[in-house]
Amino acid sequence: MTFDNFEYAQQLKKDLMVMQRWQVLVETLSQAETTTDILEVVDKILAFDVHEATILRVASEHWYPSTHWVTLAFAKLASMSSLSETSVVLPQLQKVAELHFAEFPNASFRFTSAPLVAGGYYLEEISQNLRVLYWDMSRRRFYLDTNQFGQLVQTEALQLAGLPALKSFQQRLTGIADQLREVDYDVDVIGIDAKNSLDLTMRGKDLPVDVLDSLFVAAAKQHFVLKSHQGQKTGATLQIADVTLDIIQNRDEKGHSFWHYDIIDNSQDVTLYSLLQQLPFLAQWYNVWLEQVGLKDHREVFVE
Amino acid sequence: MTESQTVLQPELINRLDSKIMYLGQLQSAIMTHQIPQIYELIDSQQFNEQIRQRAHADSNASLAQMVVDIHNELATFLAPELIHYLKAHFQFLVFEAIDGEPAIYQVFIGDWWNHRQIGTLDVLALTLEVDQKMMLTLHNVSQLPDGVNNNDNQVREIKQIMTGLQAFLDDETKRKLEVQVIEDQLAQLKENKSGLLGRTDKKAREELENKRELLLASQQRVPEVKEKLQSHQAEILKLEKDDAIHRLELEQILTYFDSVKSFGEKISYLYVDYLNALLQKK
Repeated sequence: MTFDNFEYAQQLKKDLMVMQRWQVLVETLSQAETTTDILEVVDKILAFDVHEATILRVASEHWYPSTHWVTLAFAKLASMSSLSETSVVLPQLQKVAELHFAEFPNASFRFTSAPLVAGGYYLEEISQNLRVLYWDMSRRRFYLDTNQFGQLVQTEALQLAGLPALKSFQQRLTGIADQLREVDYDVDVIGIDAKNSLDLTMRGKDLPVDVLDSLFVAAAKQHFVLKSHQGQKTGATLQIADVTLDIIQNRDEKGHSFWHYDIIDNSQDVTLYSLLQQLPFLAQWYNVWLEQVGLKDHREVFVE
Repeated sequence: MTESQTVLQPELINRLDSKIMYLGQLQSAIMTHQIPQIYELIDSQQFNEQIRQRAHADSNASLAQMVVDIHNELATFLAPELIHYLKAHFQFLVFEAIDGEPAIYQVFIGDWWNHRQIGTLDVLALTLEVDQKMMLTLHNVSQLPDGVNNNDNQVREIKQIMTGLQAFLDDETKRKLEVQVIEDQLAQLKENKSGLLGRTDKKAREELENKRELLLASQQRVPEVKEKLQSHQAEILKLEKDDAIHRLELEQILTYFDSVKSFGEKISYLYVDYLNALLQKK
């Protein structure tokens, strides 16, 4: 094959122009200070990554995949949402940066591509391989994976950090969710906001009687008493120090029962996840009956 | 007027007088909120014998019969004071009215999930009939050492069975692999079937086929074993639920009474205790 030097030089020139645009984008990301700017530039970076500069991209070891840039953009949003430090670390020989949140010194997070036609990315804790959320920039969706986040809070790494750390992390995620909501994202981070802990809908309908019986037995073994809800509502209630966990039955228009949690905590510190972290009997019950009592989330985007 | 009419008249008038007097007394007792007197009028024999300690007192059943048709209204009038008294003296009992039967209340022990009905309260008879079988079970549980439950042995036995069943299920992958290996070995034998070493091959094949048959038969039991596990799980839940309920019930009773027996006795004295308490208040 003959090598056309001129043609190659032209291609390089084009790529250099592209690279110049690339440099501007990366610099803009590093300097962006508003949610809108961060989202706009990361959108452009992701589009760029897919379609352009093939010559330089293939050759360069400093070319990073889209998940890397998503991580950087998320780190920016995370920093803006919390006073607790967020650091971005690029491990040696890795192509995707890791996120470290100061509140969880024993955990590190990264983004991976979601295997969905719609695309999007999962934020996951690396050592436990447990997802936290799904972020889809093109369709503007931001959803918590309630199953795996529920498991994550029960892991030793997060338990060691304790309740204040979990509170701080949930506040951080809530802050990010609020930022995204403001730019018209469809956001569902059910259960992490201690200020909105009422009406947390369960996934299952028409719960078998064994579900609450099991909770009654598990609680009693730990000297907690699951009581029948007194008052207008039907359901059960569990008093844990100053916090009340109500499990309330509702009826839909077809007569099926569906259930929700109400967490009543005057100090507005406690979420369902902090209860799962602090009360092993509750966590065990939640895990066993997850398909019924797990929080209703957007399971369709979470590929197992 | 005939002679017999003249003879009977005073008796008739007397009987009418006593009825009128009875109704008047009842009306007055209600208007002045004299609850002990109302109970006396409902059954004077019981009142005289148990409250006034007069043996062999006369019955007023024929008079009381007159107000049978307003028993519901009487019960509605009497219930609030009685329930108030019961809640003060048996803090852990829960009283639930029955629709259309104001004289009868279902009595539950505790307000926890699955709380059990311990008995029935009859507002007019002033009785709380308790389930004696339940009381006996609670008494027996109270005799167990600390930390031991009624159903511990049964739960332990079922858990042992479940461990075996679970081990059988855990071996499913192993069995599948073994079947696969045997299939491969059988295929290999078939390929080698060239007439050489025929007898040894036949024996080996038969052994492999038998082994495969056994493994497949075991595999076929998997759904049945899963079902058994589930049913044992439900059984354990039921037993543990019973234990948890017994524990809670006993805990509550022993918070307020020395023993299950003294709790039962206190309930059986309701008529006397309640009316005496009201009379002492006067």
